[in-house]
Amino acid sequence: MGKLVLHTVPAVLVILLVIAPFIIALIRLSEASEVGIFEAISNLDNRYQTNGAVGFTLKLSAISTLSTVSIGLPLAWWMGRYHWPAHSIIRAILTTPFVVPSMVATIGFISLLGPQSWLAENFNLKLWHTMTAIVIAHTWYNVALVVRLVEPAIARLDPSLEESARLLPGGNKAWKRALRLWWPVVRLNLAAAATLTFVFSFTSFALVRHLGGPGMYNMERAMAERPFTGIIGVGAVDSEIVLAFGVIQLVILTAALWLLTEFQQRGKTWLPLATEKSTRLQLPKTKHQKLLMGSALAAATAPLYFTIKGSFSVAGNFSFEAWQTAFSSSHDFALIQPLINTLRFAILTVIIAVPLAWLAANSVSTLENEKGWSARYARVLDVMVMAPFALSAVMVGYGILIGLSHLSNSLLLVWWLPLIAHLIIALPFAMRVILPAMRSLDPSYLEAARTLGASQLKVIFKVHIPLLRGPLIVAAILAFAVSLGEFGATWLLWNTPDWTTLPVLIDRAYSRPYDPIARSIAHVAASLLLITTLTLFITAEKFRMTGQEGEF
Amino acid sequence: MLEVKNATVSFSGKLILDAVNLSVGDSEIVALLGPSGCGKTTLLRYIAGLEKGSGGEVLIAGKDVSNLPPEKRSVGMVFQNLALFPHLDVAGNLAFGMVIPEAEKIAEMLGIVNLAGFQERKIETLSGGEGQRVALARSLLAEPTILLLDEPLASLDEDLKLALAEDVRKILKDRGITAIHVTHDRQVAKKISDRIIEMSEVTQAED
Amino acid sequence: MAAPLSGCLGPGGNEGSDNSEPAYKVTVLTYDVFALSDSMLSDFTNRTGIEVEIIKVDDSGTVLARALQTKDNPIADVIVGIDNSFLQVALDNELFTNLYNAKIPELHVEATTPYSGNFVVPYDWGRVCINYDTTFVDGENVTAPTSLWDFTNDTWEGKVVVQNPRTSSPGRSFMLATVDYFANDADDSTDFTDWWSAMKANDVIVTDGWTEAYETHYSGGYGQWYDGFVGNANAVVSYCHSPGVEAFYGDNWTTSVALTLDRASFLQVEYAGIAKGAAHPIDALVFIDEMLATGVQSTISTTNFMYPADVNYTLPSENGYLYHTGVPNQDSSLTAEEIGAGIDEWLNQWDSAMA
Repeated sequence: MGKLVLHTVPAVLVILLVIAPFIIALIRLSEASEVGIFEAISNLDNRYQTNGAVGFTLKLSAISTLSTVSIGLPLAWWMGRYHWPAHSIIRAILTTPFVVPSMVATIGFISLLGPQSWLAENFNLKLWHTMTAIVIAHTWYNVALVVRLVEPAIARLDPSLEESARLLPGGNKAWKRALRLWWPVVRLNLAAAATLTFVFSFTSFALVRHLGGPGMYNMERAMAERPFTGIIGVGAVDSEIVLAFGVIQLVILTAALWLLTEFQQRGKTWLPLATEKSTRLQLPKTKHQKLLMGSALAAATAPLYFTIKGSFSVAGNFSFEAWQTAFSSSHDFALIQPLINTLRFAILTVIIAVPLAWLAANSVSTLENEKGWSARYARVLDVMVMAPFALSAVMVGYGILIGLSHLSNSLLLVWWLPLIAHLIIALPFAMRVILPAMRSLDPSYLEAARTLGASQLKVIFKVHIPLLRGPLIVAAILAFAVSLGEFGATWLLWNTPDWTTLPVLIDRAYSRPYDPIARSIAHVAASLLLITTLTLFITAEKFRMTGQEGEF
Repeated sequence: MLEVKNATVSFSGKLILDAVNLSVGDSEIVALLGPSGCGKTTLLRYIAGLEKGSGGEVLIAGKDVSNLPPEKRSVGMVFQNLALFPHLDVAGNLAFGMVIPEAEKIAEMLGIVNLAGFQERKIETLSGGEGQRVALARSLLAEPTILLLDEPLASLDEDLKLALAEDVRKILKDRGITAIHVTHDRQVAKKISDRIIEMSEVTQAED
Repeated sequence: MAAPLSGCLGPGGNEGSDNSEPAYKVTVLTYDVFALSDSMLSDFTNRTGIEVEIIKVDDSGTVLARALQTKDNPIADVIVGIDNSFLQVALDNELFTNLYNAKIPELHVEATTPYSGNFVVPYDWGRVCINYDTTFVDGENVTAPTSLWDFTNDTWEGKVVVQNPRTSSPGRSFMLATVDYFANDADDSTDFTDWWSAMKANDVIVTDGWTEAYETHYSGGYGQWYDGFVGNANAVVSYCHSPGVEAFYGDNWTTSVALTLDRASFLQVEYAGIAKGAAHPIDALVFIDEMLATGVQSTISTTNFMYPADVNYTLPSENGYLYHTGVPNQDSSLTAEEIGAGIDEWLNQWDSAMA
C-alpha cells in the first residue's frame, strides 16, 4: 500500500505542477482567441510582428546549428585526439559558455558587438542588429555542447582499433579513416549535440530580444510581449498569436526531442573502451593549430571579459561607481535584494526539484521493468517529467500566468510564482541526471540492505542516496544553475520590485532610458551572476563520475 | 526450519521455477547444486522475498512469511557480487544489519572470520577472499534465522575456495545457523554442506 | 502621525469590504511611472501612515491587462497608468469605482478633453508627435515636412523610426493620430493603411518600445552619449515636449524639433483610479489625492516628463524646456469611445499594412 502511494506521489505533483496548468492555459487560450488554431496560424502571415517569424526562427536555428557544428567538430577533434598542456583547463574554458546565463551572455555580446564596442571600433565590424550577431552568440554557446558531447567519444576509442584500421586497404588515407572509423564513432553524439543546439537556438529569447534589431522576431520574442494573452473579450489577437506560436513550437520541439532520445538510445551501445589518457596522441602541435586553439579560447572568454570590464565603466569612463551604487540600497537598481532573491529561488528550486526528480526517477526505474500497467505507467511518468523540455521559457511563463492564475487571482501576486517556472524547467534536468544513474546502479546493494533487515526508509537514506551522491550533487547544481539563469518565464511573471531576480533586473536596467549608470549596473549584475555560476560549475566538475561524460 | 511449497516463478512468460518444494531442517546446511541458469538464484531470491511468485508459500520456523517483505523475514543473503556498501568502511558494513551496533560484537566477528583489525578498511581495498568474509560476517551479525549464500565463492581460485568453504562451514556450525548454499561446484558443495540437493530433483522447469 | 481622514465617505460599489476605517495600507498597480519614486512614496507614508505596495508591470497595456484579468477579485486598490487610448476598454469592463470625493484641483483643459467623467482622474498628459533632427532637416537639402506623406519620399528612406502600436504607448498614440489625420486630409481615397504601407516600402524602422527608438536610432536625442547608439534615423515618434526635455538637460540647446502639423499629434492623457472592489478604498482615495496634490504635480514635468494635470503647473520655462516644446494648433480628435470601438480593427489593419 505504501508503495502505491510512493509511486503515485511524483505523478500527482508533476500533473499539478506541469500538466494541469498547461492544459488549463491551452483551453483558456482557445477561448480567448476568437479564432480556431488553424485560422490563427494562417493569420500569422498578416501581422506585422508575426509575419515571417516562423521562417526566421527556423532559419536562425538551422544556421546556428551549422555554424556550431562546423566550429565545434574540429575543436572536439583536437581536444579528443591530442593531449594539450593544461588539458582539463582548456576543456573547462571551452565548455564554460554553455553554462553562462543567457542575460549575461547578452550583455557580453552587446559589449563585444555593439556599435561602440571594441570590435566595431577596431575592426569596423557592423554586426549590430544583424542575424549574424545572433548566430555568433548561438555558436559561442553551443560549441561548448559539441565539445562536451563529442570529445569523449573521440578520446575513448580503443587505439588498437585505429591501428587495425590503418592496416586495412580502406584505412590508408586519413579521410577514409575519418569516414569509416571516426564518423560512426562520433555521429550519434554529434547528432545529439546538433539537435540540442537547434532546440536552444530555436527558443532563444534574451539574445534575440537585445541583439536582433527592430523587426527581427523569432517566435519566442513575438510571443513575449503580449499582455492581453488569456484575457477574454479584450485583445484577442494576443491570445491568438500565443496559441498559434505555442502550438507550432510544441510540435517542432517535440519532434526535435524525440529525435534526441532516438540518438541517445542508439548511442547507449558504445561504452568507454579505454581510459582517457591512453588514446590521446601526444603529437607536437603545429603552429597553426596552436593559434586556432588560442583563438578559440579567446573567443570563449571574450564576451565574459567584456561583461566584467563594462561594470567598471560609467558613461565611457573608468569608475567604481556602478559597483558602489549597486550595493547601496538607494538606487532603483540596487542589487542586494535581487541577488538575495535569485539565490533564494535557486535554493528553493533545488530543495523541491531534486527530491521530486528522485521520487519520479525511482518510480520510473523501479516500475519500468515490471509487467503490464506498471511499465506503462513508468513510461508515461518519464515523458511527463521530461515534457518541459519541449516548452520554451515564454510558453512556461504563459502556462503559469494563464493556467494557474485562472484558479485564483491572488496567485498572481505571490512572490513564489516565478519559482513554479523554475521548478518546471529544472525538473527535467535533474531527472536526466538522476534517472540514468539510478538505472545503472546495481540493484543488489538495495537488496542486500533489505536482507539485512533495513526498512524502506533506511534503505533510501542509508544506502540509495549515499550511493548516488555524485549524481545527486550534479543534479542539484544543475537545478541551481538553471534557476539562477532563468529569464524568459521569470520576466513574464515578474510583478513586483521586491522579488526581481538578477536576470530580469539586467534586462530592465539595460532598457532603462536616460540613466547611464543603469547600463553599468546591468554589467555589475551580470558579473555577479557570472561569478556565481562559474563557481557552481567548477564545484560540479569535481563530482562528475567519468562515466557520465557523454551527457551534459 | 524452512519449508518451501509450490514455489512457482516466471520471468517474461518463461517459467523458471515450477512448483518447487524444499525443506531444510534446523541448523542444517544444504547445498543446492546445478548448472548455471536453472533457477538456483531465483529460488534463493524467492525465499528471501526479493522475487514474487504466483502461488506457493514460504514457511520459516513454522511461520508463513510469504506475504512479508524481505526486511521482515529474518532471511540473510550473501550475494554473488557481495554487494558490500562502498560508501561505508568494513565496520560500517558490519554494523548495518545490527539493531544496536556494538563495537565488541563487530570485533568479535572479525576475529571469527580471521579479519581482526579490519574495521576501518575501505571496501575497495579488500581482496576477493577478504570481501567474502566481510560479506559473510555482515549477514551473520544481522542474526538471521536462515542464511542464503548465492555462489559466494564462485570468483575465487580453487585453493582459496575450498579453504574458505571449510571456514564458512565451521562458522555456520558453531553458531547453529540454518543455511542454503547455492553452487555449481560439487567439491565446494561437499565441503560445506550436510546434504546436497540437485536442482533437477527439486524442479523440472521447461527449458 | 496619520493625518485625520476627515469626512471621507467610502466610494460606492465596495460591498464586502469594511470601508469605515482606514487600513493604512494601499496597493498600487502601475508601470514604471517615475513620478512614483521611492522618495515620493516614503514621503507619503511618513505623512499619512499608509504603507504603499507597488505591483509593477511592463507598460500601460499590461496594467490594463492585469486589471482585466483580476477584475472579479482585484489585486490592487489603485490603478495608475491607463491612458485615453485604453480607457474605454477599462470603463466598459467596469474596472473602476466612482471618485466623487477625490480632491481634484482645477485641471488643464487638455487633461479633460478625452474624458471628463468621474471614474478616473488624469494625473498627467502630453502630446505624441514626430520629432525630427534639424541637423538633417537643414532647410536646404531637406526641408521641414509639410505633410506626413513627405516621410514616404526617398529623402526619408530608412530614416524614420516609429514604435509598434501593439507594444508601445506612444506608438499606439501615433497610430491613432494617423487614423484621424488620413481620414481628414484632402485625399478621400487614401486612409492610414495606405500611408503605413508606403512607410513600410520606405524602410521605416519599427521598434518595440520608445527607449530603443529614441535612444538607439534617433540622431537628434540624448542617445548619442550612450553605448549602443546607432543614430540611423532622423525622425522619431516621441512627445511634442521631448525637444523641450532635451534642451532642459542640454543647457537650452537641442537640434530636435517637434512636428506640429494639424492632426498629426495625439493628445495622450494618463489616468489613475480606484479599482472596483478594492480592499482598501479609503486609503486608495488618499493616494489618489496625493497624486493630484501640489507635491507630485509640481514635479511631474521633471520626473515623469509630461505636462501635469493641475492647471497651476506646467512645463518649466528654465533652460528652454517650454520654449522648445512644440504645441500644435490641432490634435487628432478621436474620442475615447471612438478609440474603444475602433482600436482592434485599426491595429489589425496596421498589422496587415506592415506585414
